[in-house]
Amino acid sequence: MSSSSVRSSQFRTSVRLLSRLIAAGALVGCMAQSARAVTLNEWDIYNYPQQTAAVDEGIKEFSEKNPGIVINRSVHSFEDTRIPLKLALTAGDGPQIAQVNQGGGDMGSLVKDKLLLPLDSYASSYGWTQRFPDSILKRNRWSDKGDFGSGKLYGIASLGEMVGLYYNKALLDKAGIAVPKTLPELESAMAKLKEQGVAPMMLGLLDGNMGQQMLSTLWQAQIDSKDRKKLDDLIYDVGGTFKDEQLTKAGEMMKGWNDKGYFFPGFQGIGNDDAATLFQNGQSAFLISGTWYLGQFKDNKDIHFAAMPAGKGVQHALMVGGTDLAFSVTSTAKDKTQQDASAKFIDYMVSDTMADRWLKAGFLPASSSKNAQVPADNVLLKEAWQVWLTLNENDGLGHYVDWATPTMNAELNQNVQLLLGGRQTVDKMVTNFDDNYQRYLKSMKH
Amino acid sequence: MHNTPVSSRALIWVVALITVLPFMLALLTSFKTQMELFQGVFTLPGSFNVKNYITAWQQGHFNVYFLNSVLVVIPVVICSIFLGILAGFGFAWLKIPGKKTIAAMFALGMVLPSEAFIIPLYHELRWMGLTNTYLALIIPQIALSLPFTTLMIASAFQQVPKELVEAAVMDGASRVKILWGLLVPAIGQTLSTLALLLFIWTWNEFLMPLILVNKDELRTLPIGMMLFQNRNTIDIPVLMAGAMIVILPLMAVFLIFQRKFISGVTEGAVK
Repeated sequence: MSSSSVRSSQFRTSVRLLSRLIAAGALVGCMAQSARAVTLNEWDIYNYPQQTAAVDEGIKEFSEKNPGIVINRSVHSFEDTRIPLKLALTAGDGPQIAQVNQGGGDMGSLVKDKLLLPLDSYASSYGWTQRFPDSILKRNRWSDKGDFGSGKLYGIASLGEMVGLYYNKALLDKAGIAVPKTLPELESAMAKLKEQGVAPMMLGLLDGNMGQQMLSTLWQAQIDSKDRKKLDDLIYDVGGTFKDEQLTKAGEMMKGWNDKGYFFPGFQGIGNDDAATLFQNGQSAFLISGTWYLGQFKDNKDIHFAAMPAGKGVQHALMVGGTDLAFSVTSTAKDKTQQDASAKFIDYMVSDTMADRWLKAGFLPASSSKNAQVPADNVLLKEAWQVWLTLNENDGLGHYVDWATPTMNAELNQNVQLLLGGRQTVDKMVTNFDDNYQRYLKSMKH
Repeated sequence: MHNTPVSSRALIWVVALITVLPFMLALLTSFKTQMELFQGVFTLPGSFNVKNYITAWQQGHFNVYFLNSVLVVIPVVICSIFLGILAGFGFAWLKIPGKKTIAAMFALGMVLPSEAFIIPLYHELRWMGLTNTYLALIIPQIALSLPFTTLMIASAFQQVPKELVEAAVMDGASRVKILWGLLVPAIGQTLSTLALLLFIWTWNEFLMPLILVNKDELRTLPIGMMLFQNRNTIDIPVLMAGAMIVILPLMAVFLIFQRKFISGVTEGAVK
């Protein structure tokens, strides 16, 4: 060591000391812990008032049951968890428990950098593998080679979501139509409504997502859950092709509905949320969208939720959906005590007790607890909960197709917009999807 | 103004209207309910209730974030201007070795997008133990403001008539006296314009507070705006109410400074 490097390291130490001193003021608050309790920092994205209250209550109860564990909660917005989380973990001071967005860009890259802890031993000791269907857990699995959808488990989610059929019962009754159970029934119902001058199907294509979800839903409604492997392999990048008969049929259906004028007029220029609000105000009989609108729609008692009508001859159709961000244990949980305590907290977040609390707050839990208490005054949530239970009994939770590749989201949105604008054939659309997919697979050589 | 022809006056009014209209719409929207939002952009809200504002204030934790924004913006503006005056004086009046190189580095600081250095900056601050402190929001923000501030102040100093400075030197005034007694008062309007710009930039800074602090008690207003957005739905009226709360101080500051602008322009340094 030369004298200059000694000097510079001394200088560095003193700069560090100085800046640490300055920062010490901010740290004093964190010092006041008892020596024996395990303190865990937790990041979640439950920033909506009812959600935040539910989580706060949950933490309170958890702390009462486990006096040796202190949970420091910090609420973030979705965007706010992505880069900041990775940075904090890389620097070695992030939360021990964090909600992580699924998919290659987020969870995949954290796993690759060894910033998350595999939870398989906890999954078997806490019985998560029995309580949650494979199709839900797979979303949080990553192999050591970086394959998505297989290998070790890195997280488990607390809330579920799915895309199904919302319908306005008052409008259906007036037209004398029963709730459709199959796609052909849905089509004849729409024809009848159209004749009577009621807009059959709400759609908002401006943002793109609603169109993408409709296409994915019509596609997966034709797939029986026992034949789901082909779709799973496609989405988890094992391989396959988008040049798929059922997807082509779904595209043709949408095109046909547009030609027949089943969609709400002016749908090309309407955004997701506006379309939902239009539907809520009785402007159309049907809407194909997700359970994230349950809270908004419960104000209108005419609105109900049903499983997506299944394709011809399909016993247990898949429904597009997933879970919200998974809870993971991070690399900052250094010792076994912290790791065990973190897993214990996560187990509480996915417990039946917490599921009941979510239902009470008006949200759909990811678990499938048979004895769950749905509040009696929330009929819409009760319906969705029943659909969710049946769906998971049959392992029928399908996929958001945009997970397939990092650029698939835009690809889907644009192509559906072009299709419904009459500027793209179904075949060309499917070819575009496949080109995008095969390009990505080629680039993914491990 | 009364001598300008009608056509150009009309043009000015049209431009003003186009500029103000989006703000007026945002203001209108901030009083609406989700339902009313949808009945059309130009329809008036059913009642001017402040429910959305209260929601924004509580849900968005604006009570905390507002104070943080103030605590960050004041030291940033004061320190940036103080240091900018010193640096500007050097650039404008002193012979400094390597002035050109330093100027070039300053220029570089002006063109680098913050996305380019935010990650190294995070690690640097983390090494210094400053992440998750107010200083993490203040110090880099001052550093980022300095290139522009220095440049603007230096060029303003050069506009001051040489005779004035020479006269002061003849009278035997010290450098300190010349700088603070003569030059700084002479560029009052530039300084107030600068203060206003720095205030707006710091107030609206999003990326740095997003990355450099992740504790709720340190977040600033622009980060609070994010809390009204979920992954699938956005509460637009509440978001607009939040935006109004964020904009109001900026407007107030602008109105206060605008008077200074005008008075500053009319008072020349040479009487």
